[in-house]
Amino acid sequence: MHISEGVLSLPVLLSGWTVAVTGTAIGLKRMRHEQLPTVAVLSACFFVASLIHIPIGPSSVHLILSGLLGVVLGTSAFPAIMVALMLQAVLFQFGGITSLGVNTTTMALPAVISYFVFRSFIISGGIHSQVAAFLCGSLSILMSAVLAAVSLAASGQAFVPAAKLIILAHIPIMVVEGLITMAAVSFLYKVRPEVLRPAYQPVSR
Amino acid sequence: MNSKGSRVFCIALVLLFCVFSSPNYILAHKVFIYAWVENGQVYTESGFSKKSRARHSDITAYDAETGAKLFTGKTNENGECSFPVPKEILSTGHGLRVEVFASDGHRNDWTIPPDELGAVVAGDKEQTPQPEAKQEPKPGAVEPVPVSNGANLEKRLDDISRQLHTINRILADTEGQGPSMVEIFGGIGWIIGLFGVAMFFSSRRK
Repeated sequence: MHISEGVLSLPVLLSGWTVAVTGTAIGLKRMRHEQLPTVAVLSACFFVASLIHIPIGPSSVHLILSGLLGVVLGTSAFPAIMVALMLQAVLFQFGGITSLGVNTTTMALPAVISYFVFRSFIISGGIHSQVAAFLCGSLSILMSAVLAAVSLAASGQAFVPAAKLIILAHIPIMVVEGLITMAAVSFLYKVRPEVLRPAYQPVSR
Repeated sequence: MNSKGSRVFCIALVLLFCVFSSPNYILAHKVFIYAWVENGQVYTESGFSKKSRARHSDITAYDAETGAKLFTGKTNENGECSFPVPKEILSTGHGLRVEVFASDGHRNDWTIPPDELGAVVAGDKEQTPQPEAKQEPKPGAVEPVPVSNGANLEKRLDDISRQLHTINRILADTEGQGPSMVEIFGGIGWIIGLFGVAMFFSSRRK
């Protein structure tokens, strides 16, 4: 999902930067002071998660955790993901600086969309909450894969083969991320519901 | 398991099969490439990690300065590709940029400098053994194996070439190594630091 330097065309890169900068600006504007430690911790989790490989069959998959960031942070997922991706690009050469906008959009936009679609179900608790958390985790990955394929297609590659390859390769991680998001939301709902609430309900003081 | 359950199970199995039988199945962050020249051939090795190689990926060689395309090919099952040093690059004296384009937006390149290409060409020209100058052995120095004829020299050159090939493969493997713990903890430190600064300014505003 980390698209390298020199692959995408200029209009795609500019579009990616536009969405990423707008999303980050909105995320920063809506971020509250009390939320900053949570954003930092989840950004660090996202930064490290891609290094954790889970063996599945003859190969292995790595975590992304964009769905979890969307569930907990809402629009603040944009700055959290952008910072983590930027450090991954600088320190590990994953992706690149010019493609940072597209990569941020690819991973953060689905997280925020999932947050808006599933937030009411997640705060309702019970089985609906768990199903919504699973869908949030897995659909974020699916949407990210489709967005990555669209970016590649807009830069000259055939859409269907690119989409097919990226989506097929990410099916195991969709399931794993769905389960992780479901477990994390279920745990947080029981022990620290206030970690979830700030993203959904503005604190009235 | 009821019929509906078996159907779902079968679909899941088929999907998993499709995923893992895909030749370009990768879930990596970046692709690496390492290229070197030996005996007039350019060798490339590319992959996503030490274990996962970039199979059936596109390899393109360009003139490093003009960008002219000189070769296109694909990697084999082991992520390897080799081709003769393009004649065009030898006459220009430019370097050779070898690019790998794996699927899923992964791309990287490696430039072979002109002196490396030139050395290989010069080495190829020096196939005929030169007459040896008689030298007095230095005290304590290891006695070199006498090179009496062309066959011996060729054998030794082959040995050296094989050893170099092994070294080049080790170098190619080091390209596929992941990030170190220092970089990982350094990155976490940066994140905590950046958000710490943000928290400081946010608290001042309050």
